Amino acid sequence: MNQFRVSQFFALLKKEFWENRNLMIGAPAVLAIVLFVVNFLVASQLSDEQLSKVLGYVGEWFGGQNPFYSAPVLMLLSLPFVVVYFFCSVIYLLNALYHDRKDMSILFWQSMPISNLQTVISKIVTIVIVSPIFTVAAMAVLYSLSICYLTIVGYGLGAELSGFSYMLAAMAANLSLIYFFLATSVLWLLPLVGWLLLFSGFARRAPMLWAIGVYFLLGFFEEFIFTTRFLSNWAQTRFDPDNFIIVDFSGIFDRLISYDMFAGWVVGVLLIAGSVYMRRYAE
Amino acid sequence: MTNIVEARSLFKSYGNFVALDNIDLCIPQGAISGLIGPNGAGKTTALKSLIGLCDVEGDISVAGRDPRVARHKLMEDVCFIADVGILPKWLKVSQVLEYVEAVHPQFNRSKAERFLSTTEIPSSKRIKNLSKGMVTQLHLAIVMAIEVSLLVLDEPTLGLDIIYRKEFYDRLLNDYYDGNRTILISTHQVEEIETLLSHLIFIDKGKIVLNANMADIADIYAEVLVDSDKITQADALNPIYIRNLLGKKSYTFESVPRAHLEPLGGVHTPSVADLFVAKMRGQRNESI
Repeated sequence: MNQFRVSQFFALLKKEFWENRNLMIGAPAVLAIVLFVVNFLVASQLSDEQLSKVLGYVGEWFGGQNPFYSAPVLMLLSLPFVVVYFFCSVIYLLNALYHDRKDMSILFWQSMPISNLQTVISKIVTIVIVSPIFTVAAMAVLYSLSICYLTIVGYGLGAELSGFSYMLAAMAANLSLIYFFLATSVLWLLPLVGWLLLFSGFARRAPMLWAIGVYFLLGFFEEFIFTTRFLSNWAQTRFDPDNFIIVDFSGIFDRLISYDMFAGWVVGVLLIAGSVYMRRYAE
Repeated sequence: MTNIVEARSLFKSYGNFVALDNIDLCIPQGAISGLIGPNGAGKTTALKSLIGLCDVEGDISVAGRDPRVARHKLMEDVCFIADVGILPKWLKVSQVLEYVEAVHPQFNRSKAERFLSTTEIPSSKRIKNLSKGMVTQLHLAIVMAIEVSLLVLDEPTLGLDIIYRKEFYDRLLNDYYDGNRTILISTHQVEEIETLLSHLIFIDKGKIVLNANMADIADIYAEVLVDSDKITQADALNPIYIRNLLGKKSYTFESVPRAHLEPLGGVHTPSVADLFVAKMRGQRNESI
């Protein structure tokens, strides 16, 4: 791939960022601010003695621990970010091939020497690689502010803070775990990505209604005609959080290289190819 | 002269509505061609099919490529402006330039910036905050800074006031057109572009009703303000259109030698606007 093609592709990613900065940065940033304020309010409700005890306990728990083992403890704190990320990703994918058709700017984008395949791939790369970076960055800011605040408060109270450096390392490890979790979950959910893109490229209005409606309609017809529930069972297994949530580093490579992952990719790639076709003569 | 666009038997329908009815279309290289037709005549469908934005039956070659096979490759040689509304509203002016610079190998950013410096468009503003006229100027600045062989304009000045419309076409002619580039403009506002054109195509109800060089128009078409005592002779020459004008009757003829017309009254070449009306009315059998 020559250098121009690479910079061309980066421009596509940048364009996705410009267009969706509220979803990519705005949403996790607002969440980070809200959580910091909540942490601050909770801490301010505790007496000095209670706070000192809590900080000492936290420092003691993390102290001396391998950060890669203690990082999963922070997963609970990451949960709101994960939920917001998935919510924003669904909105992003439903709008990805719909919004520019609605405002007619598709005629400008298609007047550029960019293929429909490049366009669709840039959207998938955005959701798998680019967007999680901003979620993790917002978490990093929250962690940094929180640990600064707690260190200052703890220092003032004379709490034992020597374990905080381990907590900082655990936070860093947790951020990388979250990044891989978000990226691999989207890959695991590639059939859903393809499904949403397909209706984003197809629907003249209300792509979400189409995506949900057609799924239920297909399930209904399958059960009515074949008296089976293959589609709903398959989707249920696919979306079962137990099958794609990662809580520690050991699961990442097993998840990435697995028969189930590749089976999902086959379905996902077919649906994504459908969305490229829809894009071709989108009107 | 070679043709940069060659299309044969183009057919496109939307349900029962036939948008393009087996039309042939040839655009000579270096020409400024006007694709003129009333609303719903099939202009936009024809243009979209030429740049691969519309799935159409038939044979098409644009700048040596089939637009249906590799639109993105074709767009390195062809520029397209649909109408004033299509630039994405959420982009800033500077971001549009940055994007086009990164994705289009033929784009010269400094040229676009030079053009924009002659306007009042601030680069920090978002497109949604620009007036319609400014958006058109911006789009024109981008297009003029791209070295391509064919520029396709679909109703480019729709919704603009007369000042912006005049400026648009003046700049296009003076700063962009160099004699080698081909420009294809579709519009239903004939008067605006008739002085620019070197090639004329009329389209109505999905069919091409006229396809000629402007230089040939004077040889083919004539308008005669017929003296009242010559009406019978004029009617016998099968006019394509008759209209009342200043108490007299004006007849438009196609392929009738001027020597036969001169005895009937004052003969002149019809304006594109008058010819357009004559052909459209003639097509519809609504002669007055």
